[in-house]
Amino acid sequence: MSGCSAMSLGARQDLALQIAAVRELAARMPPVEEANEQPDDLLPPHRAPDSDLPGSSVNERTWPHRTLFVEEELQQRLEWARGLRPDAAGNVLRALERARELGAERRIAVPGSSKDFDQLRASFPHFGEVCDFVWRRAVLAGSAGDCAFRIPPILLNGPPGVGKTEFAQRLAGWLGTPMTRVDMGGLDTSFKLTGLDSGYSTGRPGAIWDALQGPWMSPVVLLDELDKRSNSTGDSGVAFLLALLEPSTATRFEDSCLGLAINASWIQWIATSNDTSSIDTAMLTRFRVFNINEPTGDEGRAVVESVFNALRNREAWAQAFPEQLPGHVTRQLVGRSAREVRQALEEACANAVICGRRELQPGDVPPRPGTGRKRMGFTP
Amino acid sequence: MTISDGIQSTGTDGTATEKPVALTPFHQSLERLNSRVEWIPTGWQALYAELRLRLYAVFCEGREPIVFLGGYEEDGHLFVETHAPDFVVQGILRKARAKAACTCMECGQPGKRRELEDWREMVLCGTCSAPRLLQLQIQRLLALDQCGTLHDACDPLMHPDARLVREAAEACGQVRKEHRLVLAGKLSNELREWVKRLLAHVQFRIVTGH
Repeated sequence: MSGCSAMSLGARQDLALQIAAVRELAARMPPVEEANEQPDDLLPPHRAPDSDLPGSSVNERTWPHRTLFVEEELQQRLEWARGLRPDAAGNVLRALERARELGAERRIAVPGSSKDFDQLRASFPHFGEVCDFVWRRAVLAGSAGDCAFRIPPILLNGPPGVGKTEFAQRLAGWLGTPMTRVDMGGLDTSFKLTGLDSGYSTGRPGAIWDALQGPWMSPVVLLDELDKRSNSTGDSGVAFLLALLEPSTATRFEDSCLGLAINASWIQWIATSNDTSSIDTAMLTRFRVFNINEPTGDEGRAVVESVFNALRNREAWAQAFPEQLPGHVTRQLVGRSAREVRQALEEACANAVICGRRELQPGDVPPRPGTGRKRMGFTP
Repeated sequence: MTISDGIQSTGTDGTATEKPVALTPFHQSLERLNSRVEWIPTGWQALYAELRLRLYAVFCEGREPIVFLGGYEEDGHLFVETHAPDFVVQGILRKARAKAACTCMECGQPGKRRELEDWREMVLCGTCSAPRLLQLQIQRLLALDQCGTLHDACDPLMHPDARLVREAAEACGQVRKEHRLVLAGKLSNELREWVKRLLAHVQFRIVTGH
């Protein structure tokens, strides 16, 4: 499969030719003239029809499922919630009723297609180590019966603007699961994550409960700027995070507002930081740390093209520009972080449009910040 | 490229005459190589022609007794050799064999040796090898499916040995991103039938070349 970074360039080219030929061959296959469904008497006698397999409906059987909570415990909490004061019961009853409607069985993510993963790897060439790690775990999950997949907690440590958050979003997209972003820099209390007791007037469930209230039991939770968490009150949810990051303790997570034990061990944690020295050791050991460096050389060119493609997909005005960036413009942008590239491209596109052009030129690209001419004179 | 059996010469009265001349072993061998052009794969025709041209070019009186053997392809190897201790001729043959080992037997593009069904080896490029490799992967997939051990040996979703099957399934829209090919160690009935149709299509393509 695609993902082995040890493949030589020739081997990769060879594989690409094979894939292109196979796809063309398959596309030319004549369609079936008969009905798609075959009567059971054409099936081999030892082969039972699919309806006998567990989860027989077409949509259900494509995903593995796990149990989020115990039904009896949910009933107990519902009875308890109905006995609360009316002002306290509102949020609690709504949350528990919604959980009962969705049911105890939830989907677990499975790895996406290898083609999409190749595109992800090509768009983020400086995340090669992370991609290899995720791919190996995906292959491991694929060796089991139902391919239930969970990325172990990973920490992406690197300078600002290198594309850590964007990569996490694209990875969540590859898995096909929703992503919840938690800004650790602005997290001053643990309530936002773990919920506030219903005895308080503002009591409500936390972000962890909200992330699991959907069809998915393995959403991606992005802990952004983990090294920036506020220490103003001394309680920033770290202690509860420590328990959540260990699968053994996360299987019985209780939200402070609802008191219902749920299985949060399938949550896929991705954290980002700029400096690991300000992260607790206890927290750091629970993550697999990847140091992301600025892209260089060919990586830089790939990042520039990837950022430009993302810009064209997102902004309507960017689609008026040609798909391919001119080579001299790309060379000017190589060496900048992904964020700087995006800002420079937006500025360059604006400069081009002002001059009445729909094609970028090297003069449109603003100089890199901090590279202006230094003033002459005595330094203070 | 043929050699006339005789040499044309001009007689004393100015008329052209032909004298029958016995072919040397060298030329007889080259005639035999020429007659075996059809035994050489189409992708190797150019290098086979170049080989014969070079041999003609180095002919001299001292090389008359040299005999060439072979002139055919077997198991992805070009067999052309001689027992004569002539460095120049040996070098020409060695270079031709080396070039054949990295030239696709079907289209003449750069290729590499691959092991195909029944342990047959062929030198093929990526494009020409794709149908055969796809056939192998499908046959292996169906065999594992019959045993009910697909998830134990390899899951087509992830295993490199089933990559081409996955790509073909995605190209036909048979498998979407969220679908897996395997459920409880077996393919679904619909997918199994589609894979068998794909196998028949691929085999037809291999045989006919269309």
